[in-house]
Amino acid sequence: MSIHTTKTVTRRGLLKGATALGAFSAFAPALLRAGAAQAAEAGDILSGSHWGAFNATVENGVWTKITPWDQDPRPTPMLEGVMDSVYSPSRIKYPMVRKAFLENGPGASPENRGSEEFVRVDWDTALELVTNELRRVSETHGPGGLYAGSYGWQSPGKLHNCQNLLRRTLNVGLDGKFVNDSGDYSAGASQIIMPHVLGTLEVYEQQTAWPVVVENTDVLVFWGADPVKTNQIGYVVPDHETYAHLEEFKKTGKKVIVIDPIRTETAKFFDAEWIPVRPHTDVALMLGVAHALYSEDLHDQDFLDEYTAGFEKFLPYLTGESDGTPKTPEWAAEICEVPADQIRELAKLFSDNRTMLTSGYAIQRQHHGEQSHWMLVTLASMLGQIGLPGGGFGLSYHYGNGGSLSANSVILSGLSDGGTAVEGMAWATETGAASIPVCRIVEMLENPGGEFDFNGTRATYPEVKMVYWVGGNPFSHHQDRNRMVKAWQKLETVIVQDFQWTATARFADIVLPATTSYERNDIEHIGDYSLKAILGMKKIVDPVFESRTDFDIFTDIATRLGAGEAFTEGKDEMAWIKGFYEDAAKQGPAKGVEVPKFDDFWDAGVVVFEVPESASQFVRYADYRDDPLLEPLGTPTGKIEIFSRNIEKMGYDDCGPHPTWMEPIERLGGNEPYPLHIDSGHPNNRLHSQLCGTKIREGYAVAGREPCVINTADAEARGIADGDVVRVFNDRGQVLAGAVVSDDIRPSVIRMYEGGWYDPVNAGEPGSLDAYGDVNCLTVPISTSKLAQANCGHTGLADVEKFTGDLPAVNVFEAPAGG
Amino acid sequence: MTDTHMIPRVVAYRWLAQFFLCPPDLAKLESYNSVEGRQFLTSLQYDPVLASPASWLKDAVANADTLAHLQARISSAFTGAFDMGGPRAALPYASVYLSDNGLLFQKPARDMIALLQEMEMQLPEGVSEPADHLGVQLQVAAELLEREEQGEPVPIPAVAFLDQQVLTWLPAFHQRCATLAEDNPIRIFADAAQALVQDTVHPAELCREPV
Repeated sequence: MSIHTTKTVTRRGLLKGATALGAFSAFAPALLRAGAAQAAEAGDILSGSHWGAFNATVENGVWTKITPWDQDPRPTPMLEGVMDSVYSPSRIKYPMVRKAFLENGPGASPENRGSEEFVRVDWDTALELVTNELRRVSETHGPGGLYAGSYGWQSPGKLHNCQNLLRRTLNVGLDGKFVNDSGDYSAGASQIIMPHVLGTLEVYEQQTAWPVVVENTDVLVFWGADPVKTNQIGYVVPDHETYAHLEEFKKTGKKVIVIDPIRTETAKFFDAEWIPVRPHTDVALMLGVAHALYSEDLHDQDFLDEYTAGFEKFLPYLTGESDGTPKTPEWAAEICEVPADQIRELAKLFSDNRTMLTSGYAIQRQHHGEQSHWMLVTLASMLGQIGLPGGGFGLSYHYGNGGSLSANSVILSGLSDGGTAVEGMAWATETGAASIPVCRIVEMLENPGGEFDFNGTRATYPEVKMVYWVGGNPFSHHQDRNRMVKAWQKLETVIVQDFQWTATARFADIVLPATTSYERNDIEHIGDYSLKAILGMKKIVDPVFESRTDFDIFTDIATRLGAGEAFTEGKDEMAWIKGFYEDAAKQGPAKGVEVPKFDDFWDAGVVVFEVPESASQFVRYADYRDDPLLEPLGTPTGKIEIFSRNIEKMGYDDCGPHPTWMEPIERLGGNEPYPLHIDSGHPNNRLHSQLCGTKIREGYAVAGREPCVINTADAEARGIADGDVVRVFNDRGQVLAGAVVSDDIRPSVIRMYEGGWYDPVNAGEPGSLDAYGDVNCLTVPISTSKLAQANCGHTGLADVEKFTGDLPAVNVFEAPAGG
Repeated sequence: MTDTHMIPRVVAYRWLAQFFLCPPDLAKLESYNSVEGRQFLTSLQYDPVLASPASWLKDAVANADTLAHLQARISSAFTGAFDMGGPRAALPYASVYLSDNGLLFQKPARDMIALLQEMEMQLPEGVSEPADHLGVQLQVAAELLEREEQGEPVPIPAVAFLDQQVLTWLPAFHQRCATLAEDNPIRIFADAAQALVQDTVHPAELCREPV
């Protein structure tokens, strides 16, 4: 330390020269404010999250402890990370603007997104920039210039639904002129094809009640479904009711089969029979079972005749009459590596017993994923047990605690997006699609004006110049990261509103700090399907740093766009929440439900509804089975469509009119550019990418990286030991991971969960090594087919090697470097 | 208790604190170019622990192309160290250094909130920072010193506060700042903060030329 002094100066002289202390105070002011400080919050507060309801203990205004709600039958250990996320070093503290953007305006040095330093600005500056950009892009590029599809799991809550709030802002402030999205990343293929097959989305529908399954199901099949893992979370606040039912089923000792390349948490829970099918060959396996059923006359022709349409058109394909390839168990065995005898045994087992075929979304989140659930429904139709207690199929036992008992509850509305549906607006035909399939965003950016098919329609991609993303992290959930990094450079302006420095925020121009859902008030249901209760999601702590609630931010933007009153309708946060509750309460008399007054509810924090006896006897499709004429399905024929004339009319070469085995672009045993299939399933310890930046990670990270589970033989062949850092790579990208050597995964398959935070060593440089382990650096960017245009997040092959280079640090769990 | 330092310690703490809490705006920088401002900085230059930042600021204000450039430079250093992560980061919060995983708003923050309540003081107007921010702690130290000088009761003596709640993490913060460029103002001011607190708690340990 350099100290300059002179021996000729005295303290008295100095003080005199500086006109003593009075002058000092101007340059060294007392900044603390005098007066009694407002008593900091303390006590226990009931609130909720995607991981469940909980009590938050607050001391001196700081959240110090989280304990599960006492009526949560099976809290998830992930709750601990919820509290952690509020105080994470990855929090966005202030509005930030990328330096080049601030200095040179929209489109400045887009290649530096992800690596360039950010400059802190005040809220007024930030929101003026945002508002000016919304206006500029709208006026300069028209309604196709702004993409507000903004997809992601955000946080629960009927008011601070940030994606609705964004669209509401643009609907009232920009006359709805923006590009939206359709569908989701979870079940994008099924949610398009199932309405053709069953007349419903099916993937988001209540399931046959678990007590019915426990009592009646003899054989319970989990086909690419892992409910023990995935029911920990919910899109609203999960009820976690599934687990007790799983315990009940386990106690019966009845048969449980898990068909999956991984011995899943559910397989371990039940000690189930594990059939380690080759990934992406489920349709072939189902066809093999179906062929065995048919050839051995085990199928239910009466059911097929009465309740389905088009089996006779599917049959020639099954038998090989139409294409010369009978879909025999032997044929299937060659593809899926399940022995033909076992396939025949499955057919007999299924037909001899009351069988429930449950499936998750994984087998449809792959190339030609539409075929998987269509074939599963076809197989269940051949078994003839649909609509019988404990029989048939179920596509949502793994999600939202499907099959839990539905309460007799009143139902909350939420804040609307404030506009008429964007689809069909006149401008759409002039500037491109008003709504694109959600996972086609990179194609849209790469190919403005290009045509695309979607579920029988044909449209053109708009020329998007600006993206506004809120409550989502496309730099996690989208496939082929390196291609995305490049496509992102085509944008003039990227705005991200979030509470933490997600990879997406790092690739933005303007970053707005939002609160977590624990720093604001809201209201939500407990139980995605059961609607068991209404929960006051009370604010636990004040907003940290300069974060603001989503409602507050969008109110400000709407006001700057001249539409503040239309946006708020004159109501503040609590007025909206009270309104949602009181509107729901009006349903009470008709449903025979006594609903407490709002103030009583808010004081109590929760109102739990009774479950009627009838709920425990609910059988999906029982009404249809009882009377198919009076209770027809919502399909053109009113029946289960094994053959769809509507799809036939579309004439797609990648999705025919009946379930078909179609070779995926990459698979083991097929087109095999690399020797290992990447299983990129939903994580066990986070919700997609949410909570990756919390202490929960310490429980699963290996060498500080995302785990990569590899079969013992595959590891040995590569000289890889448990705990090694490995490089996982293919032509699309390369990531580091920590090896977990295990026999709970079939040979030639590795598992890296989706949602690991993208941490490029050279940020912004396509192809950069990812230091932490974002599996979507490796997955394919194509869509499932022209029908659904859904993502293929589980499709992709790669190789693995022990990493011997200089190990790059993992930096993604704190704020990005200043430049 | 009488402060016999060249610059009263209350002043020293408050002057440093404001820098950590918020980068000086243009008006503030202009004020250092005034007669009073230069005189003030000259005064600080005679204090061993403050001489370095005072000299840096005096030179910077005098030699900057424009004060706006200087302000931008300081703000950039401030943002790089305090608002972001990576090798240039040195977060000014006790919790980051004293809690598992570098979490914010942990026990040090709660302790500071409790202390502020006991002192019947609140965070500065417009400051949205945790109470365990270095700038807040330096302001609290100044307040405690001032009350002690005036013979008022204090919830904790200033020296004890600095020893128990600041020196527990300030060296780690200082160490982070020591990796910044030598002319980075954050590093220069962090040196001074470390020296000032050290001098207050352990006055004999600071080697100082006689004045």
